[in-house]
Amino acid sequence: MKKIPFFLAAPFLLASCFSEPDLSGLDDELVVITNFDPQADFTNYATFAIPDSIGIITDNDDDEEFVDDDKAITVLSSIRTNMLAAGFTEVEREEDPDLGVNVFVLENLNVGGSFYPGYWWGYPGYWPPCYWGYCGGWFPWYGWGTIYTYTTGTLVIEFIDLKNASEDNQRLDIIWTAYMGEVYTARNPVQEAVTAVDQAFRQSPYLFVNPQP
Amino acid sequence: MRYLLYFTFALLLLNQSVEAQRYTGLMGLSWNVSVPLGQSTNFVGETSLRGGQFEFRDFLNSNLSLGGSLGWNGYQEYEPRETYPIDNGAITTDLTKFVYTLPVLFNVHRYFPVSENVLPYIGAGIGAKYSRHAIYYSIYTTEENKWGFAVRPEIGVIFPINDVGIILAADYLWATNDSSILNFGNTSSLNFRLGMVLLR
Repeated sequence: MKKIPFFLAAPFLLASCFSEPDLSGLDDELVVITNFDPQADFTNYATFAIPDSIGIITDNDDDEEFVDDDKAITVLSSIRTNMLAAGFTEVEREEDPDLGVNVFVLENLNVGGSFYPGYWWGYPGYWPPCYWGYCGGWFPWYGWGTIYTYTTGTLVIEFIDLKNASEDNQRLDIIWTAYMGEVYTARNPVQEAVTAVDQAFRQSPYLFVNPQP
Repeated sequence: MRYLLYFTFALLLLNQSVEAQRYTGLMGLSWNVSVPLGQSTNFVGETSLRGGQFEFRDFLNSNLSLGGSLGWNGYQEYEPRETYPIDNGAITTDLTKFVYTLPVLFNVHRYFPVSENVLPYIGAGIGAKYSRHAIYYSIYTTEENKWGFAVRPEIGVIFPINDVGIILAADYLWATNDSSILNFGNTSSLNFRLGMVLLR
C-alpha cells in the first residue's frame, strides 16, 4: 500500500512539470514594439533634438545612471541616422526643436501597480535640472495609447511633442514610442539594439512623411 | 470521430452475458496525447504529447462506475520572427504560443465485459477546465487564464491482469473556455490515452 501515496502525488507533480513551455527555440533578437498617437500628424514636425547620452531608469541605487558612452554613442547614432532618413532635421536643444527624442533604458523598475512614467521625478535627465527644459508642474502625457509595463532591460525611444507644448495644461505629449527588449540578456546588446532601432523605424512608415529632397 | 461512434455501437451490441470480475474500484495514470480541434486551432494547432491523466473510479456494480479525473496537457507552437499590426502600432518578434489545460471532471462509466481480461467501456464526464493561454516573446509574456465548463464523452478498454491493468482510451473534450483577444469562442480536443490502472 506504500505505492498509493506516490500514486496520488504523481499526477500533481507531473501536471506542474508541463505547465511551462520549452522556450529554447526563441531567437536572441530584441522584441520591437512601436506605437503612435493617432491624433499626431507627423508632417507637422520638421526638426528634432536628441541627447548625447542614454539614461537608465532604475529603482536600485547601486545601478549606473547612464549607459556606457561608447555603447550609447552607437545606439544614438543609429537613431539619428533613421531620423535623418525619415526626413527630419537635427537641431540643438536651444534651437527650439519640434520633437525631443527621449532615449533611455528601463533597467530595474518596481512599478508597484502604476506605470513607468513615474520616472519623471529624479530622472537622470536631459538638460538638467529640468526635463527638456520644462520645470515645475510639466508632465509627459500618453493619453492616446497603451503603456507597457516592461520594466526590465527595455530600451525605449519616445518622441516628445515640443512644438505644441502648452502652458495651459503643462503637458508634454508623447506621440511615438518604441520599446525594444530584452537588452541585458542579449548576447550582443549594442548590435542587437541597433538592429532593433532600424526595425522600429522600418515598421513605422508613417514617420517617413517628410523625405529629404 | 466516426470510428469512435462505430466502436461505441459495437460495444452496445456485444453479448452482455459475460460477467466482469467484481472490482470495487480502480486508480489510473495515463499518458495523454491531445489533438486540438475547432476554434482551439486558431491559437495552437499542434498536437500535444505533453500530457496525462489521473483518475479514480468506484464501481457501483460490475458494469457501472462513478469517479473523477484530473488531466493536464501543454500545447505549444513556435512562430518565426514577423511584424504584427497592433492598435496604433506594430510589434516585431518571434514567439512561442503556449496553452496549458487542466480539466477536472466527474465521470460515469458503463462496462461491456468481453472476458476477464478485456473490459471495454463507454463514459461521460462533466466538470470544469482551467486553461492558460500565453504568448512568450523574449523575456515577456502575455497571458490569459480562464475557467470553463467542460463535457467529455469517452470510450476505452481496460485489460486487467490480476490487480493491475492496461488502459487504452479516447475522448472528445469540449469546454467553454474562450478568448476575445486570441479569437476563439470555446476549446475542444480529441485525446488518446495509454496508461496503467490499479484495480481493487
